[in-house]
Order: sequence, then C-alpha cells, then structure tokens
Amino acid sequence: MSTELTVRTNYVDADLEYDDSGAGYIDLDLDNDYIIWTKGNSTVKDLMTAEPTAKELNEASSIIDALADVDVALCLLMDYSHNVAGAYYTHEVVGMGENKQFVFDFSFDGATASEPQLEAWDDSNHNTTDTHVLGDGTPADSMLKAVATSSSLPGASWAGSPIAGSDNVLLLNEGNGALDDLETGETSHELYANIKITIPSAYATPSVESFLTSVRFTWN
Amino acid sequence: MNNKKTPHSLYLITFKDGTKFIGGNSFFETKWTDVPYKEIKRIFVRLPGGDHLTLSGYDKYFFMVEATKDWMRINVKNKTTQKINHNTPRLEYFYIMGKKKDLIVSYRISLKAVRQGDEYKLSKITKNVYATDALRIKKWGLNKNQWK
Repeated sequence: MSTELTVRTNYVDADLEYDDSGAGYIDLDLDNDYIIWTKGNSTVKDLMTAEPTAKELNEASSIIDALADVDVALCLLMDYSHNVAGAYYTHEVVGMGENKQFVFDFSFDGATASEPQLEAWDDSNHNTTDTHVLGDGTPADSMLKAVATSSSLPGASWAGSPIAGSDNVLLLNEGNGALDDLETGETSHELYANIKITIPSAYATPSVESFLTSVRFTWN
Repeated sequence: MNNKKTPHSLYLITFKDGTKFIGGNSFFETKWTDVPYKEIKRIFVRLPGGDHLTLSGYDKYFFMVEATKDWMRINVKNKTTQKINHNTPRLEYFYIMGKKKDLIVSYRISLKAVRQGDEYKLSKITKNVYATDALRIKKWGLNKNQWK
C-alpha cells in the first residue's frame, strides 16, 4: 500500500506538536487552499472574512529595503473552505520564520522507502527555478529558506537552507533516512519544518511571483 | 485513493528455492513489503508499454515508487492558470535496484509525462551504479528493512 502525505499548518500554538494539539492544525486542501506571503496590512491579515483580491494582495506586498534583508513578515493559509474556527478565509501560520518548532507539519501514514524531501519549483513541471524568489536561475540564491525541526527548535535568527530545484532541497527527516513502519498504536509519522522568505537588501527586481513547493516521497 | 492499475503485475520474483512471488498490479499497491525474506534468484520487472527488465545475480534487491505532492501554491490569485490536481500524489519514477558487495545498480524508470488515461507508457530508463556509501545513496536514506 502506498504511503499517504497530509500537509498541515499550525494556526494556534507553534510550541505544540500535532500529537498534543491536533485541533491547532489545519489540513491543507491541496486543490483549493494556497499560501500568501505578505507584509500584511489592515486588510490582508489573519481571520479575513473574504478571499483577498489581487489588488489587496499587491497593496500588502513586502517592500525591498535598500540596506537590510527583509524577512516576509506574515504567512497566511488561504483556506478555501473557510470552515475552521468560524467562517474565516485566512489563518496565520503561527511561528513562521521565528524560533519555533511546530509550524509546517508533514504527516505520513506509514513507512517510506527513502527520506522525504521538500523542493521548490516555478510550476508543476518541476524543471525550472527561474523566478526571482527561487534564485533567478541560481538555486543557491533562493529566497525561500527552510529548516527541518522535528527534533529541535531551529534556533534564534535561524538562516535555513535555500530551497530551489533538485539539488537545493530540505531532507525532512533531518538526514535520518526513510521513515520506518509505524509502531503499534501509531497512526502517522509527523515531520516538521519552518519556512520563510528572505528578500536580499537592495534586490533589483520587484515582482509578484507564483511558485510552488513540493514534497518528494517514496514507498515500496 | 487514485489507484492506477497496470494490466499485469509489476514484477515477478523467482526464489532460489523454486517458489515465486507475484507483485501487485498498481503502483499504489506494489506488494513489495509482502515479499518474503529469502534468497532471490531472479526478478522479472514489467515495464510500462510491455517491455521487461530482468535482474539476477545480486545479493539484495530493492523496489520503490517515487511521487511528488505539490502543496504550496503561492499567491495563486495572481496566476490563475496554475491549476493542477494536488491532492493525489503524482507518480514520477519507479526504481528497481540490485546490491552486490559494495555496489548498488539502480534502474530508474520514468513515469512522469507519459501517462495516457489510466496507463503509463515507457519514456526513459536511467541506469546508475553507486557505491553503497555514495552521496546519492546517503541522501536517499533507503529503508534498510526493504532490501529483499
């Protein structure tokens, strides 16, 4: 039987793992939900009661700083079904970019044949990383940074690894290899990561870009 | 579950004791974990499109399916054309490997971009030979319990 992956975001308390506070996580509907990285403002924020428009998103964009790198301040899950904790379309991904351990949860319902890994690509073809956010053709320059946090906090001011393409990936089990069979009573393996976007100082090309992340995983 | 089936079993194993094991007929139900731990004489792997590959003479064998799941579309409002089926894992490759002493021979069979309806057509086979301590093998972190 193949192993299934469920992706969740924490919207309550990034100090609590899924096994201790499952209600604090939202399962992503990967057909409809999406992620918004934004500076945020009085309109684009946590607990919106309508899906933000493109104009609203543009008005809430992060601003490139001439002198300092900018961490995109806010990560929102755009919950298409808006049926979690009220009729809200957006939920802040709590702990994003901070020294927090339980932020993005990758849940596997069984063993894997090899170690799951996080990747980022321009689109679903998985063959280019030409967007500026993914390094403008140089994956090592990707602004998307990630750190695996299943066993520990990422640390204060964590830098993370640039994620883009097939070589710049994040091993989600912290390099410990494939996931073993579930033990008696277990229903899933939970792997955690923290992810952020850091815009370099004085970056020359402002842009609105769409890209995607992907988890590559295997089964026997 | 999207259970793409092939018309035939994915593989057939002949053991040195003369018994046989028939693999599953779906990439989502390969039955590899059910393969008993006893000496394998030969593995006959059916390839998409009807060709086959036979491995023999190795100490251990490993079969796995690789898939991806796109989970984070960014600011999708700004790019409405990017709409794909994300909830179902997308099959990318399957692998059959043989290990002998300090070497692993890997055959990677591409499944992506060759799907036609519910079937897969063969597009590309890549053979690689790795030392067991090669970086690629370390990064894979293959499940040690599934070498048969």
